[in-house]
Amino acid sequence: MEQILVTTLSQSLIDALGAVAKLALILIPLMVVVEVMRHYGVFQLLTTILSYPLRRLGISGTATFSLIVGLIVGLTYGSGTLIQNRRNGQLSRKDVFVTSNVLAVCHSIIEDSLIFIAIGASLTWLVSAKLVVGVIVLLLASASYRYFSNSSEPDAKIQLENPKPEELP
Amino acid sequence: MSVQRAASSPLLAAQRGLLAGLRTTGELARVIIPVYVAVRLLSLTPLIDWLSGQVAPIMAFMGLPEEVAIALVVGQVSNMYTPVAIVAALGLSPEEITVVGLALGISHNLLVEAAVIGKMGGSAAASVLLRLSLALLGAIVLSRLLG
Repeated sequence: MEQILVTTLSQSLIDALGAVAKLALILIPLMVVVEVMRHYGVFQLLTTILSYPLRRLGISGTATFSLIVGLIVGLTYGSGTLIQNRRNGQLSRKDVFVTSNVLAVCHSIIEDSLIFIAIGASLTWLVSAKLVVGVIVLLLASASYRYFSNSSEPDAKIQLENPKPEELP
Repeated sequence: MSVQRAASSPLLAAQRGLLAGLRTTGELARVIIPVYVAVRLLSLTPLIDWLSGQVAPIMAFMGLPEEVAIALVVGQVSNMYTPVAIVAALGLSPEEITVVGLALGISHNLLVEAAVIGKMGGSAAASVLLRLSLALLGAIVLSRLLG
C-alpha cells in the first residue's frame, strides 16, 4: 500500500508538472498574440466586418465590439466595455439582451479552448462547436427579443438615472 | 489583458501579453498541481467510483465515462483550471476531452459569471438555465457527431 501511494504521488506530480508546462507553452504565446492583435486594432477591424450582418439583426456596432472583445478576451472584458457604453447611452435594450445572452454561453473562446487542446481535445471540433452554439444563441436571442421585452419602447436607449462607475466582480 | 487602455507600441503590447501569460501560468500551476495529484490519489479509494455511479446514466447520455461527472460538477462553481486538471488526470480519449471541453466551455463558474451577466444588464438566472441546458445539449450532439 505504501509503495503504491509513493509511486502514485511521485508519478502524478511529474504528470501534473508536464500538464502545466504544456499549458504554459500554449497560453504565453497566445496572450502575446492577443495583446499585439489588440495593438494593431484587430478587434476594431472584426467589429467593422461583423457589424454589417449583425446590424440586420438589429444589433449596433457598439454592441458588436463588446461581443468580439468578450468572445476573444473574456467575459469580464466584454462586459466591461458593454457597461461603459451602456452608461454613455449608446446601447439599446436589445443590444444588452442579445450581447449578454451570447456572451453567457460563449466567451474567451481562444483561451478556454486551448487549455483543453493542450490536454488532448480537437481544435477544429471544439472551436467550431462553440462558434455554432454562439451563433445559434445570437439568432435565437435577436429573434425572441420582443417576446422577452416588456418595454413599450423596445429600441429606446438605456439611460441610467444616476451614472456611477460600476465595479466588476 | 486590459482592453480599455491602448498600448503605445507593439513591443509594449507584447510585453504586457507576456506578463499576462506568466501570471496565468502561475495561477494555473497553483490549481492544477494539487488537484491533479489529489484526483490520482482519490482514484485509489472507492470514493470516485461511488460518486460516478450516481450520475452514470446522465454521463452515458452525453457519451462520457462516469468519472468525468466530478470535473463537470466542480467546473460549475470554479474557474476552468480545476476541471482541466481533473480531466487531464483521468486520461480520457481525445473525443471525450473535446466533448467535456465543449460542455465546460459553455457552462462553468456559474455563480461568479451570473453576477457579471447581471451587471451587464442581462438576467443572471436565465443565463444559468441557458448555459446548463446548452452544455447538456451541446455535449449530446457533439458526442454523436464524433461517434
